[in-house]
Amino acid sequence: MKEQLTEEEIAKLFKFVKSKYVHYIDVQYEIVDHLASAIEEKQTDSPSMSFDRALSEVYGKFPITGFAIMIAEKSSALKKFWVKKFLGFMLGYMKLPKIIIAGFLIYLLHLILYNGFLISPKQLYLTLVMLAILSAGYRYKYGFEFSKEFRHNYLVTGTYLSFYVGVWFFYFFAPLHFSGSQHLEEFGYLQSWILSVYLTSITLLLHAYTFVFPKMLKKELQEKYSHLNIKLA
Amino acid sequence: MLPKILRYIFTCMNRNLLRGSLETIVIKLLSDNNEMYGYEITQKVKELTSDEFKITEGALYPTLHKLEGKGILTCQTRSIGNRFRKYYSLTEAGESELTIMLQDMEDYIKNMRLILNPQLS
Repeated sequence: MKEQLTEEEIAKLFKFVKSKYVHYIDVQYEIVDHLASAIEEKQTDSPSMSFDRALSEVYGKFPITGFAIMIAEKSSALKKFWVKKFLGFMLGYMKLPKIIIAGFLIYLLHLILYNGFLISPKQLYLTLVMLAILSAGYRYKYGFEFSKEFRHNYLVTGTYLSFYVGVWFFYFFAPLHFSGSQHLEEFGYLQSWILSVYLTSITLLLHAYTFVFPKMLKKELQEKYSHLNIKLA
Repeated sequence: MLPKILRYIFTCMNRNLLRGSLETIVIKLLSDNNEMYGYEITQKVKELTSDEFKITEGALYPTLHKLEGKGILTCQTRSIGNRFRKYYSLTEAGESELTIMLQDMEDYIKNMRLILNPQLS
């Protein structure tokens, strides 16, 4: 019968893992369980083996880089996971039934822009900025986006936020090319269609950022990381 | 000296072969055992191959995380006494991936046999 490691020994393992530059708490939990299982196995096979010796033997099986490759791979896997989730949601607007909503929005915007609704490109850009600020205000209630703790202490939230910020960059800088002109202008037929598609994509992205993606993170944390007690509003 | 070098070369070759097949091994084990944790996978492989295959932690966890990122695996963390343990299981996508991977592996082994033992064909 395998003896479980004591609370003190588990605490020692957490300390050891931290000393090997594993700063993410969610990764620490996974490594500690692995080390603990291996140590327990060793001590069952050789009951006289000390905890420290068993730990050094178990750690010796990891590559010379320690846990670094494991963290890098986990980080890349989590980034892929979030990209897949985000893209999956956005691509849903290209399939029935959501494509009807997207198509309707594009057509409505085209009608407005093409039929003499005068708006300067600068006004359009400022409207986007205003909407982004409103969205940020709404998302502030979740508290994680602006928290250093969530960015640096947990790999799962850190990778989520790195992607999140990347897309914001796109949101603000992609439309800069039409923000320079001060003049009011009527949009041509093709131009109004292109702009309608662009504005619809941006609006849907903003909607997803404000209401959908934070819920995705919340669900993920509840389902897989409930032991970490990460508090989201 | 020479046997030592040869043994080293064979170990490296073995390791590379194993690394290339690791995803298939992990998916197959999870399909057979419903859910497993990391350390359990390393032990199960050792047990099934009578210590011939040894999966290192440095290779196993990156593979598990890669498969999780691809949506082939999912995980759940549960308390076991004074610590938490992460259990991996296959998703629906993982189940269909397994069929493809096993077929690919069988084809690969068949072709390797033909190359290594042409008189058999």
